[in-house]
Amino acid sequence: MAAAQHSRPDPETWVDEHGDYLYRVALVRLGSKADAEDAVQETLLAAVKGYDRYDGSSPIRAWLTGILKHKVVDHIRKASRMVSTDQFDDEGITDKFIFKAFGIPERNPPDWGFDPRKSFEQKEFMEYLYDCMTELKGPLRQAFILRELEGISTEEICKEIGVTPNNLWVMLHRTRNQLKTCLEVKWLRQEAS
Amino acid sequence: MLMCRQVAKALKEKRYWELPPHKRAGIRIHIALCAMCGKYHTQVIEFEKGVQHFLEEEEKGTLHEDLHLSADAGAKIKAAIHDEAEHRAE
Ligand SMILES: [Zn+2]
Repeated sequence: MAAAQHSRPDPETWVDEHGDYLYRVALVRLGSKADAEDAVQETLLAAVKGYDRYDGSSPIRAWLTGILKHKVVDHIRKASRMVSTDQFDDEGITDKFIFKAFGIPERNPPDWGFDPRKSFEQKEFMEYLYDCMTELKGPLRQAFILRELEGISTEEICKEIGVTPNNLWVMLHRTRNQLKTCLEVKWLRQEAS
Repeated sequence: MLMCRQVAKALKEKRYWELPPHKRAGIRIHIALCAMCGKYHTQVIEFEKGVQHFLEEEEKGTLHEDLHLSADAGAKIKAAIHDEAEHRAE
């Protein structure tokens, strides 16, 4: 049985149909408007050049998004080679007994200022998460996006950005804490208003 | 029964929801019972579930519909696509 075939729209319609969507996908991952616009442009030009390879087995938006995500990962890989990432465990978490023995930085982390199950169901909350992820900076951003949004393996990220698995773990731990604080601030402000 | 460090190792390797079901079940049992790592690892997992949910919502295209590619950038990209398409048609 043949796979469902999707249409092959004229590339000149792509910006109007998918430009905003691709831009949003790029912005949260790159954190900069200019970089996100560049990534969208590179993606659509690569897609025009490689349009022969689009076989219609998935919708055109999914195909374009796949190309964009490759561009994003490439961009992060290049940017991450320019900075030293070996500086994030200034609290010495990985030297602590509790980390060595149990793999955690603390036994009783503070509760969250929001109910994850309930808040994650809400669109407003997801938009705050988008905003908080967009605001992340530097190597913490890079590690988080590669790992949590793009699902790249720990092994591969460590190789790409030159950190040990423990370093990466500390970076992800710190990024989760930053996002948690950011979400709490935005969420509580909204509840108060 | 898994040990705390095995839970930590599994969660370090992959996103929780990408782990095989039997591994997730073992992790859930461990953290439900473990007074040492239970709270921390529960938060890690809840967080990753939130990200998973984010990715699903993002794919639907309904998040932040107020964010747009700027008109300038849009026009520039359209022109570049037009040039490339013409070039290829030659
Ligand atoms: Zn434990």
